[in-house]
Amino acid sequence: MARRPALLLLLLPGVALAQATVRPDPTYANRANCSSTTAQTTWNWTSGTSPGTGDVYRLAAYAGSGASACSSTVPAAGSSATVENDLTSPTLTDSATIFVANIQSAAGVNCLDANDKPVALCVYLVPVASTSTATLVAAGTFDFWLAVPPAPTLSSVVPANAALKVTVAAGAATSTETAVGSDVNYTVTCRPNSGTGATATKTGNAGQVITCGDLQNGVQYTVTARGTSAAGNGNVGAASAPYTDATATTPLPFVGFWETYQADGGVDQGGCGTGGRGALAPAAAILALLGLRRRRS
Amino acid sequence: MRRLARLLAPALVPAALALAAAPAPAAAQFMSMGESPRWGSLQLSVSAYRPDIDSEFNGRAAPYTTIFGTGRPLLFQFLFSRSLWGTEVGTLDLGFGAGYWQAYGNGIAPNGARGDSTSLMVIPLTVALGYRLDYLYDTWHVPFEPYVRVALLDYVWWANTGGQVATTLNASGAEVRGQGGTFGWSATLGIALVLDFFDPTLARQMDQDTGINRTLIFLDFTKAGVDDFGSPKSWQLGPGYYMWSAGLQFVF
Repeated sequence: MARRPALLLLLLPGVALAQATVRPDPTYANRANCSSTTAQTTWNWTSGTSPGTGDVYRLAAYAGSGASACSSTVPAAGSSATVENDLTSPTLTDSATIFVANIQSAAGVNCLDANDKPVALCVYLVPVASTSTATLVAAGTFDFWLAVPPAPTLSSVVPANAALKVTVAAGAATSTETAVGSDVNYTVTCRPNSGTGATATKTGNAGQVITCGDLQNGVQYTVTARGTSAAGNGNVGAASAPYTDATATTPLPFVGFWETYQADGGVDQGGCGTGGRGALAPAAAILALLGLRRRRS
Repeated sequence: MRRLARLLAPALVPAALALAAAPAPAAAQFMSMGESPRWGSLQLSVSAYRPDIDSEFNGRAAPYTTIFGTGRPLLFQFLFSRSLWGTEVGTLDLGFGAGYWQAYGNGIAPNGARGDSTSLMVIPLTVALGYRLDYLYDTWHVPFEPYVRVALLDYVWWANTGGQVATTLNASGAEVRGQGGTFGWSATLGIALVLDFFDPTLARQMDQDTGINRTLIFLDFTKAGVDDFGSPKSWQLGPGYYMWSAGLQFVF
C-alpha cells in the first residue's frame, strides 16, 4: 500500500505532459500551402497550467520537433519567432488559427527546400503579474512536407484497344528531388501527336499498370508521367522523358485469343459443359462408385 | 468466387463422393515385411501441354497458334489417391486431382501489329482410377512399377483479353463470355522407378518417421479427349498428341 502514492506521483507528470500537446489542424502544409498567403492551421491545446485572470498566451514557432525545440525563454512580443503576440482571455483548453506563412516565416522554413521540415509549435503562458515567470504550457509539431518526386521513367508502354497501358518506375532521388517512397503517385498523360483527340490522364503507383483509356485507335500519342508526393507536391516534380516509340504508343483495335477464336468461327460458346453429354462425366463417376460399393457389400 | 464454385462443382462433387466412398484403409492394406500399411498416394507431375483447339478448323484457321504460337507451356498437376484394392500383385487406386496451366500471348490488330496481353488459363480437374503393378519390386526387387490409369476430366478454363475475361457477341447479338468447363476422358500408360531400391535403409527410416512407404519417380504418356465427349458444340482441349508427364509419387 505504501507504494501507491509514489506510483501516483510518478504518473502525474505524464498526465500533465499529455495535456500539454498542441494539435494543429491540418497537421502539415505542402509546398503550395507553404508559400500561400491564405493557408491557415488551427492550433488546439489544453494547457498544463490554468491561466489566471489577465494572463495571455503567446505563440511561437521554431525549427525542430516538439517541446525540446521550443525556446526555454519566452520570446518577446513581436519577435521573429512569435506568431501570435498576446492571446487574451485564455482558457485551459484553447485554440488559435494561424496563417501558415507566419509559421514558415517564424521558423525560417524555405518553401523550396528539398526535404520535409518539422516545426515546433510552442504555447507560452505569460502572467499579468510582472513578478511571475512566463512558462511553456503546451507544445506540438507542424510539418512542412516539401519533398518533391524526381522525374520517373517509363518502363513500358503497351498498346491496347483504344488505350495505352503504361508502367512507370520511380526515378532516383536527387539533391533537390527527394520523394521516392512507395506513397508517391504517378500521373500518366497521353497527348495525341497530331492534335486530334483528347488528352487522357490516369494516376497509379510505380510498377502498376496505368491505363490511358478512351483514346483514338490509329493515332500516335506522346506519353509522359509525373510524380506527386503523398503531400500533394506534384506540379513541381519533373516529368519523365516522353515515350515516343510509334508502335508502342499507337492504340489499335487489338483482339485477344477468344475474339480471334470466335471470329474464325469457333464452335465453343463458353459455359459449363456443352449439351447433355457434358453431364456424362459426373454421372459416370457416381455410377462407378455405386457399383464399387455394391460389390463390396 | 460463386462463379468459380459453380464451374468446379460438377467435378468436385463426384470426387468428394469418390474419396468418401473409398474403403477403410484396413481393407486395402497390403504391405511387405517391416513396412507401414499402404493406403494411398500423392503424385506431383509436370507436363508439356498444348490444347488441340485448332483441330476443329481443319486447317482453315489456327486461332490458338496465331495468338500463342506453337509452344507447349508447362502443366502442373497433383493427384491424391486412396487404395481401393491391394494384393501381392498390385494396387487399385481411386484419386482426385487438380492442376494449373496458362498460355500467354499478345492481341493482334487488323494490320498484324501485336499489342495488349491475352491468355488462356485451364484448371484441369481429374477423377482417376489407376492400377499400379507392385509385384516386380515386392517380389523380385526389380525397381520398376508399370501402371495404367483412366480418368474423367473437367477442364475449367478462362480466356482473358487485357486482363479481363474476354467477351464477344454472337450472331444474334448475345454476349459470349470466354469462360467455361469442358469435360473429357484420358488414358495413361506409364512406368515408375522405385527410389527405395537405391537406399532401402533410408527408405525404411523415412517410412518409420513419416509413414511414406515408397517413393517413386515416373514417366507416363497420356491420350486425352476433352471435348464434352465429342460434342459438336465443344472445342478440343485435349492435347492432339500423347502427352508426357513426369513427376514424383509418394505412396503411404
